Amino acid sequence: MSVPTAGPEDEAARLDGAFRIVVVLALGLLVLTAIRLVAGGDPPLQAEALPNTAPTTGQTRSPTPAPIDVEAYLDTEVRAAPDIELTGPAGPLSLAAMRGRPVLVFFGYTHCPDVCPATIGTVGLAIDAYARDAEAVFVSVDPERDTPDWLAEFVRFMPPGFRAVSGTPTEIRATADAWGVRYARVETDQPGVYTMAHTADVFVVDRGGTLRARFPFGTDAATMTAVLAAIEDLPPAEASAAPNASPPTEAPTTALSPVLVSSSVWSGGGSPVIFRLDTEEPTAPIEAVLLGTDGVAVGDPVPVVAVRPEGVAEVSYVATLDIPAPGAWRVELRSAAGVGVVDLTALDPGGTAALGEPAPAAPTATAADVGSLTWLTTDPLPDPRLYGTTPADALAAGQPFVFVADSYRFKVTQQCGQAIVMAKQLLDRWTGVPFIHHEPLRYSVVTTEPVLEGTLEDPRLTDVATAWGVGDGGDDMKSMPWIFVVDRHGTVRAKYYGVIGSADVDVILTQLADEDRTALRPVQDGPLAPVAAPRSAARVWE
Amino acid sequence: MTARRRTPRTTALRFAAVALTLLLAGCAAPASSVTAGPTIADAWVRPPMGPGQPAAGYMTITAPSGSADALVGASSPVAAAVEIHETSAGADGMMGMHPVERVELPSGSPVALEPGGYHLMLMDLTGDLKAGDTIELVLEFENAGEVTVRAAIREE
Repeated sequence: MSVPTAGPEDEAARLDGAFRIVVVLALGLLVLTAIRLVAGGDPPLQAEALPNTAPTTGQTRSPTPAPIDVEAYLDTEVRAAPDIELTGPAGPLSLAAMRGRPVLVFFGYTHCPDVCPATIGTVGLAIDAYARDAEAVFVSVDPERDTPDWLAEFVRFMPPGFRAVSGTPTEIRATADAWGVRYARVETDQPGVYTMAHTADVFVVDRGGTLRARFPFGTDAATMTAVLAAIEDLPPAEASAAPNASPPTEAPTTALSPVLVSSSVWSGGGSPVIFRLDTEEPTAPIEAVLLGTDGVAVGDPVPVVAVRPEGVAEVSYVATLDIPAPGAWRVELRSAAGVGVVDLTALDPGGTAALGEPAPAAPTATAADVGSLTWLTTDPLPDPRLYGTTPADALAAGQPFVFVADSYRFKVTQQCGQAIVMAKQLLDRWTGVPFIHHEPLRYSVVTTEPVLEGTLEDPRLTDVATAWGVGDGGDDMKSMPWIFVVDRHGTVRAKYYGVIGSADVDVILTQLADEDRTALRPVQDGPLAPVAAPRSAARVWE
Repeated sequence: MTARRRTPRTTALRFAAVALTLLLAGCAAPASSVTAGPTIADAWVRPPMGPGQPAAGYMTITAPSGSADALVGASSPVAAAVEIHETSAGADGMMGMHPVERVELPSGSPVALEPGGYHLMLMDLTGDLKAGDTIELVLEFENAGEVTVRAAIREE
């Protein structure tokens, strides 16, 4: 680019320095602008011309697609797909009745703006490109909002070949369980508005009803199409499905069909495991026995407690189990009416405050101690109720309490901040229970801004967080957020990590209230209570 | 400020300065911007899955070299509210969605708002969003202030 340089010496002498520089720059820019215009025009101003960022079809992926590794998506253990018997806009739908066509199955909810529509779009493209007779089934994990009537509206927005089904909460939980799909209701900061966290895999069922492959979220349509084509010629699953399909020692499981609800089950002592039963409320006592995956009982039977939170239609059943080690286990529920078995996976709780043991006594600060909430929380809209009590105060008063170790600002995991949001929601429902939020990472306050000590990769835990074992969830310092539920005797009764379902904490608090036979009840039909609950005057514990 | 007599030379200087300012403004371009605004590429909005449902907006935002910024808010004439959300996967494989206050934009590095990650959530839409149309999105940046872009409505 040639830019005019300073003119002859005599001319330069007549210009002062600033003028000369300005002129030089102006001329240079004129030249540049002229070149741009000639070369096809200046890109429009963003703020003025509102550039229409035209679609670049196929997204901004690598221009040379790598060969598709079909094998990577195929299930190594081939088995018959669990059946789906749920209800769609046009009535009952059975996956078994769709045999003869390949079916893509995935779980989601209609109020989901990001993951589910993206998956629906991709699956639609895959089915289209497959150009044969594949179909897709969308199973709702949000029965409260996704009624069959609502699904009728929803399916109009889905590509051809899609069906959407829903059912009762228990039916859906049982279906998801059979497919290994997890989901949990997660509160937002707007009362009554919630989202669902859920497994976002897409499952492939072949023409013979065999579960063949699964695609993690983000798998592209071309891969799905390639896998659909690749499974066409595979032998049916009967031979390989047979060996583990006949546990002859099992008693009939017709009477109780338990499904697992807990969002976390821990190894070690005293882990509460929450079930639903696919039956009417049984009157006979139920007990639970922990079994190894070989079906051999481990430990003695424990009583199962029926719990129904105020305003919630479904009864939950809680068994407090001592699970010796992390990994796969089974629980057998027994009553006079029959038995039922459910599989579960116990997680390693690391060094976090142990279930069934006294809660750590480390003193936390309250707003009254420090004067400003900025020193207690990085939440820009803090709820003062989370900072009014200490664990010691709650125990002295004979109250259960909920300890929330989470940071709004310093997100060492993507779930950080969500436990605080959930605590705020549950506070409205459980006004008699202290909820205590603690920021686990040390920070200082510079003017009004919290400034982290150390880095997000290498933060410094507070003494309180260390006492609760927060940050020691097995791998590294980054295990957060945690919620602990402590009973009135100071014993840690439940703990949750990461994506935490608000229903779990609600069930455990109800169980504690029932145990103490107090009048404590949720006081209003909060976000968890679609059914209006009578407003109770007795809000205090005892 | 001392008053200066206006000479032909100072007048010329002022003129040149004004011209320079105008030219600098006129040269603001996404690729080689001399102003400090982030550039936005490929903004698009997926139409909602049904009446009353939110729509998700995606794009790639790049803060200019040497000038980090943060996306701190958004609005649109077609939505009562626009929130910044992030989809993330938990340890147990569940994917969930939560609002975020800000999306950090490191200097010169493109940050994608894309399915399964950051996205804008357009809530309480005031009209139909039809594939093929475009809508206006007003992005609020911590340093650069408001920037308006047009986003295409499309499915993928």
